[in-house]
Amino acid sequence: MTTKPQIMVVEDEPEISRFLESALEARGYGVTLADNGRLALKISAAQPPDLLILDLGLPDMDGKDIIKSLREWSRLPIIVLSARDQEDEKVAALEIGADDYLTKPFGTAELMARITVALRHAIRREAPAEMTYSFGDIVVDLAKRHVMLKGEEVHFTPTEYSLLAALVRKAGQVVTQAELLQEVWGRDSLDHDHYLRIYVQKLRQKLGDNPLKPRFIYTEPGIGYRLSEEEAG
Amino acid sequence: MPKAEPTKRPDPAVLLSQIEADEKRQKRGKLKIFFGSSAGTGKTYAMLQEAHRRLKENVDVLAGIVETHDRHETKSLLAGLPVLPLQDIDHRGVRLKEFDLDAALKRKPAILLVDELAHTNAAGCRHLKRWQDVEELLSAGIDVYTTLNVQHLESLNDVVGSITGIAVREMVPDSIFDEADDIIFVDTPPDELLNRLRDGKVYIAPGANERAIQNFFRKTNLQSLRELALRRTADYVDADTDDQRRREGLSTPNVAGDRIMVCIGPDMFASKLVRTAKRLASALKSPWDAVYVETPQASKQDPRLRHHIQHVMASAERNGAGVVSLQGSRIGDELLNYARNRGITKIIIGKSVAPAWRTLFGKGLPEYILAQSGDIDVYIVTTPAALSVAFNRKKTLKLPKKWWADYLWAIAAIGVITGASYPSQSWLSSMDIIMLYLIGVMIVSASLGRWPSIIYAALSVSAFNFFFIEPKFSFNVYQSSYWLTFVVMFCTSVVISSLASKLRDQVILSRRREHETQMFYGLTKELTATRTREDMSEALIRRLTETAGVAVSIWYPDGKGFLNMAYGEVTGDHFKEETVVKWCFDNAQNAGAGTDTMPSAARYYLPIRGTNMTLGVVGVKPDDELLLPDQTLMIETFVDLLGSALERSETAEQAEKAKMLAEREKMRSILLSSVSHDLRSPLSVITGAADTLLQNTSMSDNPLLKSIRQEASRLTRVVNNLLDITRIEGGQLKLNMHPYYPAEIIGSAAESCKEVLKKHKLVLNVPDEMPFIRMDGLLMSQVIQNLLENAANHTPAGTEITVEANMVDHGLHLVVSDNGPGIPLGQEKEIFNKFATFAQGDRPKGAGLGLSICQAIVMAHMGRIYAENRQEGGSRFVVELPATLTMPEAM
Repeated sequence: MTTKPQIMVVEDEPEISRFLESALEARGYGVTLADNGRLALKISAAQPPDLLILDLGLPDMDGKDIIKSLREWSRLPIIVLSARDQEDEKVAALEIGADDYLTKPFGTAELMARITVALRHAIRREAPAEMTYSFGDIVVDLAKRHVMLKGEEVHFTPTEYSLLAALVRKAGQVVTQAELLQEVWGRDSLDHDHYLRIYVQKLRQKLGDNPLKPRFIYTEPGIGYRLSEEEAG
Repeated sequence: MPKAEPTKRPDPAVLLSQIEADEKRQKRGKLKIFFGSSAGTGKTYAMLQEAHRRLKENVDVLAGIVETHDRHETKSLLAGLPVLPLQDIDHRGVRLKEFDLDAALKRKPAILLVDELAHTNAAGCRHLKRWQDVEELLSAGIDVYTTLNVQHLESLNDVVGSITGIAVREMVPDSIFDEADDIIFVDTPPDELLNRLRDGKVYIAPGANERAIQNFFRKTNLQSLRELALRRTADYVDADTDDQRRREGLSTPNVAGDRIMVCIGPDMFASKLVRTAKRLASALKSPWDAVYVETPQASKQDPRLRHHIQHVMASAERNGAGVVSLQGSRIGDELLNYARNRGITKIIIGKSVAPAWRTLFGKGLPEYILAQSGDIDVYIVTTPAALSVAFNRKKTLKLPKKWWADYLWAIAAIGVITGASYPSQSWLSSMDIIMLYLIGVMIVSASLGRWPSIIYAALSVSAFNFFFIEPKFSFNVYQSSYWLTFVVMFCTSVVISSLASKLRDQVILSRRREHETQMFYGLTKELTATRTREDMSEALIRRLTETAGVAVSIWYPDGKGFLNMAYGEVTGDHFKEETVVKWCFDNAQNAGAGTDTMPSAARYYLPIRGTNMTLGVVGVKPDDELLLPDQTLMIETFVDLLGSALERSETAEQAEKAKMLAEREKMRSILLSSVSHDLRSPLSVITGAADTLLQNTSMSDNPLLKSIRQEASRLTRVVNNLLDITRIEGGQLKLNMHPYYPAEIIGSAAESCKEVLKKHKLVLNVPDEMPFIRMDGLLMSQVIQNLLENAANHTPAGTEITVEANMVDHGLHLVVSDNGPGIPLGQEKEIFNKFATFAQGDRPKGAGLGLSICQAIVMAHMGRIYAENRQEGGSRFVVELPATLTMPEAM
C-alpha cells in the first residue's frame, strides 16, 4: 500500500464527524473534515480526496448541488448519508451521480463495506483492463460478453445481458430504476418499470437466484437493485 | 412528405358539448317512444312485444302501467310480464288507480313500461302529468318504454285541432319527443284502422261523445293524422342525423341563419303563438326567443291570465326558446329594439283582438311592427279559437280593490273646481273656467290614471254646461256655438288625460324598476357585507318581505342530509310541506304552488342553487293566491343571489381553513425535521461507536457493549416509528406507486429484518408465479418488516414465523403467522390502535406503533389489515390489497 486513501467527511454535526473520523482512521484511512458545502467544494478542488461521504442535510447548501458541481469535473466516489424521511432526496442524489447511500443511523460494518466497494470501483475505472467479475459461482466476462455459472455458460438475450452488465459494472452499489431503464431500454421508457421487473425476474431465474432469499440481486424497494459482490453468508 | 389533405376534424367546442350531452344522457335512462297517428294503431301491443323480447334476453323488465282496455290480445301479452301494482289515490272520496312512481323508483328495474305518455295524473299524485313522472324515472337512470299519439304533441295541437275539430287538452312538450333515444313509428293504414274500429278493437273512453268520435275517425282525418305523424317522425330522424353528422365532424346542412322572435302579450293568444313559433323554429332549425311584453296595466290583470302566461313562457323555455321579459310603455319600439340587437330575422305576432274602436286613435301593435320592421319578416298569426278559449269576460274584468275610490276622487275634483269657480263667475270668463277644468284633468289623470280622468272629462263638460252656461241648472244651451266649445273641451281633456296618464304609467314603471334595482343593490350589498349563513338568510327574508310582501321560510340540510326549517313559522301543514321541500331539494327544481309539481302545496318552493349542489330550499307564501311572473323572476334572482353568497362565504371559509392547515403543516414539518435530526444524530453516534468498539477484537465479547448496541438499534426503531406515524398522521403520506412482484418486496423485507429475526425460524411461502401488484414498495416492505418485528417481539426464541402470499379474487392476500401465545381475547382490533401494547410477561415490548403504521399504510392502499388467533395456536396478521391494484401482466 503506497499512500492511505483520503476520505473527506462533509457533515455539520460535530459528534458524527468525530465518530466517523475515529472509525475511519482506525481502518487506516486518512480523513479530512468539512462542516459545510462551500468548504467541501473548496477543499476537494485544492486537494481532491479519494472518496466523499456527504450528509444530505447540510445547513448552507443543498447536498444535491454539491454533487452536481463536483460531477462537473470529477468522478470521485460519493456516498450520501440521508435521514429516513428523505427518500426522494436520496433517489434524486443517486440519479445525479452519487455512488451509494446509507440511511442514518447506520452500522460501521455497513459503512466500511460501502467504502471498500466504492474505492474499488474508482480504481477499476482508471484501469479498465480488468473486465472479468466473479461473484459466488458466477463469472461475467464483459469483454467477451459471456457468463459462466458453475463453469457452464449461461445464454442471455441481448436485453437480459445488457441489464446484467449494467448491474455488474456497479456491483456492490445500488443502481436506480431510472438508471437501469435508461441504460437498457433508452430514455423514453422511464415509466415502464414493469419491463425492468420482468427482466430482473428472468435474470434471477437463469442465475438460480430467489427473490425471497436473494444471493446476488437484491431489491431496494423504491430505489432500484443492488448486485452483491459476495455471496451472502 | 405527408399530403396536405384537409382533414375533417370536428370543432372541439361542438364536440365537447356533444360529449357533455352524451355523458348526461349516459347517466339518464333511455326513452323509447312507440309513436302512432291515432288511437288503435297498436302501439301498446308493439311495446309489449318488445318488452317480451327484452325479457327473453334476461333484462329486468317491469310493467309500470299498461292500459289493456280489456282487449284480450293485449291482455294475453301482458300476462308473462312482471307488473307493478297501481297505487290507490283517494281524491275527495273518489278512489282512483294511478301509476305508482315512488314504488317504481324504489324497485328500479332496467326497463319500465309506462303507457300513455300524455296522461294527466289524478290530483294527489306528485306530478300533474305523466310525462313528468317519466322525466323523473329517466333521471333516476331507469329506461322507459312509452306510447304517444301525434295529437298530443304540443306543437301540433292546433293543427290537429283544425283537422279533426276536436280540442285535445292533454299535451306533451315536443322536447320530450325530440330528446327521446328511440322513436318507433307504429303504423296502421286508415282502412285497416276503420275496420278495427268497426270490430270494436279500438278503445273509446266510456261516455265519449258518439258524434265526435264519428267525426274523428273519418278516413280523411286519419290520413291527415297519419301524414302528420310520419312527418314528425321524419323530423325526428332528420334531427338525429344532424346530431350524428355533428358527431362525425360533418357540417349540418344549415339554414339561412334565421333567428325567430315571438311576441307574447297578456292575452289568450300566448299558447298558440308559442306553438307556431316552435313549429317554425324546428322547421328552419333556427334558435328562437319568446318575448313577454309587460305593460303597467299587466299588474291589473286577472291573476289567472297571468298564471296562464307564466305557464306558456315555461313551456316555451322547455321547448328550447330563450325567454325574455321586456318592460316599457312603448311596446312596439321595445320589441323592435330587442329584435335588432339580437339579430332577429323573423317576428311572430298575434293579430290584436282588441275591439276596432280602440285602434281608431292609434295603430295596433301588429300594424306598428309591420310598418317599422324594416328588413325583418313579420308573421301575423290569428285564430278564432283563441277567443273561444278565452276566459269568461265578466271574470276577466275584475278591477283592483277600491277602484271606485279613484272615481270618487275624480268626482270630488269636479266638485271642488265647480264649487270654487261658481261664486267667482262674475269676474271669470267662461274660457278661464274651462282652463280650470283642464288643470283638473291634468291632476286627475296624473294621479288617478286613465279611466277616472276620462270620467272626469265627461263630467267636467256636463258640469260646465250645467252650472255656467245659460240657462243655468239645465243641460239646455241657448247659444249653439257652445256645443263646439263642449266638443273641443272634451277632446282636449281626453288628449291631456291620455298624455298625462301615459306619463304617469311611465313614472310608475320607472319607480318600480328603481325600487327593484334598489332592492337588488341593497341585497347584494348586505350579502357581501355579511359572512354567516344566519345573517344572509335574514337579509333575504327581510328584503323579500319588503319587496314582494310574501311570507318566507328557509330550509337547510343538516349534517345527516335531513332538511330542517331554519327560518319561518311552523304551520299546521308543516308535515305535508316537508315532502315538497324534499323533492325540491333533491331535484333542484321549483315545486309547490304555481308549478306543475305538487301544486296543491301552500307555498312556492325554490332550491337555493350552488355550482354543484343544492344548498337549501326557500319557501314563499304569497299574499294572494298566486305570484306574478315578474315577482317569481325577482324572487328567483334573490334566491340565486343568496346561493352564490352562501357559496362564496363557504369558499372563503375553506380557503381560511386551508391556510391555517398549511401553516400548521409547516410548523409540524419544521418540528419533525428538527426532532428527527436531534434524536438521530446521537443515535448514529452511539450505534457507530458501539460498532467500532465491537469490531475491536479485545472487546467484541463485552456484554455491556453488546446491550448498548442492541438497545441503541431498538431505540432507533422506536424513533423511526414515531416519526413515521407523525408523518402519516400529518397527511404527508404520499404513495409512490409502482408495479412490484410481491416476492421481491417480501424478500427485501426479510433481508432487512435479518438481525431482528436471528433467533427465529423464518419460512417464506410465496408462489413462483404472481402478477404485478401496484404499491409503494418501500412502505409495503415496511409493513412486512413491522409485522415480522412484531412477531419476533411477541414470540419466544426458536419458534417459526411464516409469511405467505396468495392471490384471492385477483387481490393480494398476505399472511404473517407465528406460533406465539397469540393475541389476548377481544383485543384483535385494539392492537392496531396507537400505543396499544398488551402486557406480556413482565414488560411491554415495543412502543406499539408498528401496527398502527401498518394499518395506515395498508389503508392508504385501499386495502385492509386484521389480526386473529390461529386455531392451532399463535396469531396471524392478514394484509389484503384490492384487486384494482393487480396489474395484468401485459407487455
